[in-house]
Amino acid sequence: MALNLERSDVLAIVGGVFLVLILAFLNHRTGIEQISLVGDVTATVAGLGAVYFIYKSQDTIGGDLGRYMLIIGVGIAYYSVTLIPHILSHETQFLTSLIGQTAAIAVYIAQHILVFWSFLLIAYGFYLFWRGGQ
Amino acid sequence: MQLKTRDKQFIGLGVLLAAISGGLAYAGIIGLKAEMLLGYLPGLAAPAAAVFAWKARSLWGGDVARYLEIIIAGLLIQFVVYDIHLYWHFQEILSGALPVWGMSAVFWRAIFHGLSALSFILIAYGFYLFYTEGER
Repeated sequence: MALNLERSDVLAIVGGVFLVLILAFLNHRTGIEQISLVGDVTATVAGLGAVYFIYKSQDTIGGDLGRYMLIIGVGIAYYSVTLIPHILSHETQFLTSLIGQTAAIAVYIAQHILVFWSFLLIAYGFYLFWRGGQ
Repeated sequence: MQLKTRDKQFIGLGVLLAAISGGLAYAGIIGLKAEMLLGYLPGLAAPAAAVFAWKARSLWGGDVARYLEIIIAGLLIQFVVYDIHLYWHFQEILSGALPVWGMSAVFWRAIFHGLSALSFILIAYGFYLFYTEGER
């Protein structure tokens, strides 16, 4: 089961994990919780980056593979766009103060299902990737 | 748009389920418990995506396999982090405070959200390689 990862890829993955650990520890020392919002912004930007590359690939790759990537892109796009508003709504409770708790929970339940669906879309896209290669 | 009808139906099904569930919640039939339980579901979908990507990788091989492996690494990090992270957040609802688990709430929030960011960076990198090198 040899992997096709290049040395630089492994470095990026393992190094990335260690970097997060170090940054988390430094953040812990500052005691400022809001700093981790940088992580959320990064996740959003990265997610939108993935969607951008998928979009640009539609011309060069196209066909079936293009369709699989597009499905995955829809999932990533929805998650990226809603991530920060969703996190902020939980943390600041602005939604609850705006529409009341019952309506807010309704929105949260709908959103949690949609986030599940975005991840499911990503799974569906890769499922097609697999089936398409057979 | 290259999405087929069944793809759009798949998306539509999710929207329908979300609307129905939201309606049930607005009617007071389901509430906070459902909200929390549903929150865990993405953490189960991420490994499914990783499994399919893994199965795909041996079929395509070569460079495509490498790009998929990078994306799989990102998905696996999501899988490891997601539900533990939510469980951690939910403790605040259930017991009034975020757990410190030997370090601090600040530390854990940074780890969870930081690893999540890393996972998306890796996924983006995988698709970046698809775009820049996948001319076939």
